[in-house]
Amino acid sequence: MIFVGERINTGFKDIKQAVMDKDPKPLQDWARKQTEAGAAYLDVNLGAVSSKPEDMCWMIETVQDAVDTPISIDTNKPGILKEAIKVCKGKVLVNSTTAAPEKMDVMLPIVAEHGASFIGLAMDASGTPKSADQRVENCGMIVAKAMEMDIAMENVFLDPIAMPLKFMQEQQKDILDAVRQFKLFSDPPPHIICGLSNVANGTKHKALINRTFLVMGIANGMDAVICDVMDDELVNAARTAELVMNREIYADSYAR
Amino acid sequence: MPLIIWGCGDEERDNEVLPECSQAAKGENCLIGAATEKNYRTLGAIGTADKHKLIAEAPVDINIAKQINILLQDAGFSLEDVVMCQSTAALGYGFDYVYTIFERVRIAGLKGDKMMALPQIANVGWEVWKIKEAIADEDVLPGWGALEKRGPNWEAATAAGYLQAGADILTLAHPESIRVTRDMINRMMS
Repeated sequence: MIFVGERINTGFKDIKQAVMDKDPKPLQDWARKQTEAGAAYLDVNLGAVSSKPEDMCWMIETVQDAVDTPISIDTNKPGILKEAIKVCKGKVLVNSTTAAPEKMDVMLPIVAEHGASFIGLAMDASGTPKSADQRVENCGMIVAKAMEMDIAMENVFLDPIAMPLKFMQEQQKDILDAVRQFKLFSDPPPHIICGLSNVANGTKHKALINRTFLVMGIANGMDAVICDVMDDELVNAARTAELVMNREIYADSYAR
Repeated sequence: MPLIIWGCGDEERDNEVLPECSQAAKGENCLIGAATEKNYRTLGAIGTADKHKLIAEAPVDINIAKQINILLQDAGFSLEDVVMCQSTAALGYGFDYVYTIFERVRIAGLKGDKMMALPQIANVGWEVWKIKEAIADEDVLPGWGALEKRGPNWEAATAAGYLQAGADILTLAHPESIRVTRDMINRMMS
């Protein structure tokens, strides 16, 4: 399971303050904690705090001063991506592009040039998809574009766009259905990822809902997730689901 | 010359003898065998204290093999200092079971399972020279060919199989099988 740690995001008060004050400590603490918890990538999100590439670069360089963990650059702005990707030391995950041709035409060349991986969202210019078919169509376009640009499937992460259970309950099955269909695009198939925390948005039992959705996602073929990697029960549930799917070898002490 | 110090497999005896051996060879970076689910704490402790590497042994069981590696790591012993062993079988005496497990470990490691991406050892010499094919001459086994060739051939054939399955270390006894195996490795690597 590929875990992308979500915590270094200015949506969180401590990170927002740290970016404004240029205080490296909170970013580096979370970088270390998430790395120790098993994150394969650290998502770095500047959010709405600033639109300046140098601020994103500062965040990335601050994280890289503390850990060697690869960076997931959380931006959909090509201007920021172009500068940020230059300061990344290891393998990069570009989070993200939509399936809109005008978006892919700008973002994917940067991805291809740097040999990076990228997350492709199952939405186009018309907004969030409403059915499994729409999601499959959008991601089909992303896969086709990636193949056109010689981006290997192991560098492609498709995101079916997880929706809040509370507000879009009827869509949940469609999302899982789309995940299953994404696996059929190619052999070997692309990775499938989602921003898990969105599922439990606004609910009371956040950890339970996110954890259950992730397990169901894994049963349908999901192999990567942007999540709270510090949540032991979440990580254990994910790894257990992977054992059930025979994707990892079982050992008695596998769980944290 | 690096040394492999292998116990007798009796837990009580090994727990007495191996710490003494480890201490006597302190700092020499030997490979000590073998850590199992029962004694991994003792072996881990002496490996750390006397600066040796460990053989972690499982009985042809991929889940137990992974478990021992997790236990050693949790006990503070680095997996960089561990060599995996799935016990060893001579050709004709369970060879295919061990071969399959070697392959499975190797493939799991290549697929990204860090707990299985460790070197593997096949204790060929120890197993082959017990069997009748390697030690009984033609008066006992008529038509089986001369013993001076049969023994080393059997050892080399067993070694060749494990080499293909992914063994990184082979213990061999006969100079002729060593020569043949070295030649095979050179040809594979050329």
